[in-house]
Amino acid sequence: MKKFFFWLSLATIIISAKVYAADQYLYSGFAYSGNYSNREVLYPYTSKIDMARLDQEFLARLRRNPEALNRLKLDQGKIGQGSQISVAFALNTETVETQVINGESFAVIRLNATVLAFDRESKTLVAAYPFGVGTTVKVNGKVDNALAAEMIKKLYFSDEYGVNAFDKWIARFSGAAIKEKFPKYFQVKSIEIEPEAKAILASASIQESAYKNQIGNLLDAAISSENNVPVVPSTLGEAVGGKMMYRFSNASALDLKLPEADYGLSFTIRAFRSKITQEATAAAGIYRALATVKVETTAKDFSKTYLDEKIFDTIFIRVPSGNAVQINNWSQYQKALSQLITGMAKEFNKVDSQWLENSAANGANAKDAFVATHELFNSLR
Amino acid sequence: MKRLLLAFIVLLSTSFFAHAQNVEVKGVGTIQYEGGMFSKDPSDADKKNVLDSAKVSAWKNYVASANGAKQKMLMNNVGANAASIEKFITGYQIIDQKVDPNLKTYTVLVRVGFNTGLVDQFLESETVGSGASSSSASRSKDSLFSFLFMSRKATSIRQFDARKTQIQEASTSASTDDNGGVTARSTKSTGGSTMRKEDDVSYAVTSSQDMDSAMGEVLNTANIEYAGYDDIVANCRAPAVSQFKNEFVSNDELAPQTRSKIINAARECGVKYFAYGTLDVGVSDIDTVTGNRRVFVSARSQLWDISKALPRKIGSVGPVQYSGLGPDQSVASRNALQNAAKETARSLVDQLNAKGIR
Repeated sequence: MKKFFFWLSLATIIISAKVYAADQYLYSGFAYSGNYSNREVLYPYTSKIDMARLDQEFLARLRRNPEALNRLKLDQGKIGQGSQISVAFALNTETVETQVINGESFAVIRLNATVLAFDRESKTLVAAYPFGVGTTVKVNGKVDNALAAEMIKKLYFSDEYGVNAFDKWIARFSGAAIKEKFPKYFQVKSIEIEPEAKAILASASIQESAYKNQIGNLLDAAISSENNVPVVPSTLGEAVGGKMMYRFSNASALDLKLPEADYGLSFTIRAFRSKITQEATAAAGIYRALATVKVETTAKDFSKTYLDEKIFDTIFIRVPSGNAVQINNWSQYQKALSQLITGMAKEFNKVDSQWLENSAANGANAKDAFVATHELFNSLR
Repeated sequence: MKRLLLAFIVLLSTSFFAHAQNVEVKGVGTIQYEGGMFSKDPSDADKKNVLDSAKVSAWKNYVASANGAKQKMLMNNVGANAASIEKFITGYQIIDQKVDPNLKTYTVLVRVGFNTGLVDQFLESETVGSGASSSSASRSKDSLFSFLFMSRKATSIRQFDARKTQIQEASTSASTDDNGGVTARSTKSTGGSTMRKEDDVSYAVTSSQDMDSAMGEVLNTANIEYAGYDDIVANCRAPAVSQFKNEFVSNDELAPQTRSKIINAARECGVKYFAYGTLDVGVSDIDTVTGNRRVFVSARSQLWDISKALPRKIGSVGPVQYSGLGPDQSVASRNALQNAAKETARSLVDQLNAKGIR
């Protein structure tokens, strides 16, 4: 009899583990994030591509990667039968910009997407691992719509640029921990722009709200990638009332409930500054992006600040004189800001004193705050 | 042997509760501590106390999110202390903590999971009463419940343009001045009004089968026994729905005579509590977020104690709007009706539970 209960108990443990452990996730294909009726505004190029074709390509690339494919269940199963944790390729933004550098035109294309894990049954977002994929291509003159559409298409369907959006998803998915529940959740809560930086945006004719979304995506991707932690998608754009809409390739739409973030990051862009000096043989440019970063708890009756530091990063360029030199200030500022965000995200993962010396206004005095933030990020996995 | 059996039961129940209906709520606990002889930090006892206080804070936040009737039941029957809420806790996670050495305060932020299914079961057992001594238990005896819900669907909406009326008045006057000359003066006054007419909505009564089963599902889960209206028609000569459904097309409430006939028949059948309500299904539109069809349903209901000659209203729900989405109008309106019926039923169940009715 004792043996009977022993084996019965063991069987219960095994069955229960089999039923509830999410070793395999349901494959949910390609999805658009946000308001479906805005898809042609949010995704002017991708929305022209047949979603079924995107899904086929995604699946074809997954099949070439058995390790990733083994973590997925292509059979959708039924609600209530086994784990309902599903994963999808969720597109967040697409951008195509023309930049003129030294008289030459370049198309800068970028897709921001997410390894989206959600519980189909409770309609709750479980984890989001955002990433970006893009390239810069030399072009003749300004990029028109047809060329932009062609280049975006290549990011999905070819390896011509040396990067592919679906392959990047597969790589990100392969290293991502997906659990039914994470102990704590983190989110980029706000992006602010101070008047000095706003003036630069205005002179470059940049729309502020779109720019904030872009920076939110950049922060999400950098923090998640550098620290391998899931993030709650920044609610700066399309999330409404703690929920985010996703529209999938099988035409189903899900209103996913976002987990309530326990920690929030506020990022304030203080200023963009530059100095150009004309030397005998070259023009030297110094471009700097200055920001303030704050990481704190979000609970209304529990306030704890981990980090509140002024940070900055600088890039240096030299252009030989004698040429028809054209330096696009805006793109240099963005390079400096992008470098600052990546450096900051790396600092959360591993505190580097040299980076603090170079990029924190408080220098070595900021170390304790960054160490505390680093420990916080360790607890998010 | 008994221990093995017990272990097996515990194992089974743990595996069940881990996946039972779970709601997570945050709570904050703060205590003032004295510190031990050899340490200035909070002691283990302080840590336990602050955790209990945070759990109670989470419980209070959970109670605050419930409707009024449920809040009252929870506070009366469970209270808010660590021992009484422990049985509903499925797990907790300490999110963060901080110690203020100057004020000697220790604060903890926790996320606590509550088994809402167990909370509801407990409330039913307490309010309806397995204990025969409770006054509510005696109330529950023979307190048969029944309901009648009617739904009507908007078949067309005629919207009227605003009617604008412009009035212009011109007048001319002439006067003679001191020099004998004539001065003519012309004035023009303009004005008017804009009248907007209410939308003309046409309705048709729809089947209440989906609604009855959605209501029944919630009532059954809550262990509330009920009698179907069809049985009251068959056994106690209540008017059949077909006899008065046309009243409901033009008016969103029943005529007093019809209502009186329904209540009298129900009383004759031994029904003590009767709920009736209406659900108005709107015309579908396109949901801009999902691209699906969307239908809104407006629900309202009243709960009556009909045991005496003069019925007493003891509860009401709404009017509340619910929406449903679907690939076509039929699916969307069915989803909206189900949402409306279930939420209305849940609210009625809480009100019935609060009065100890099964």
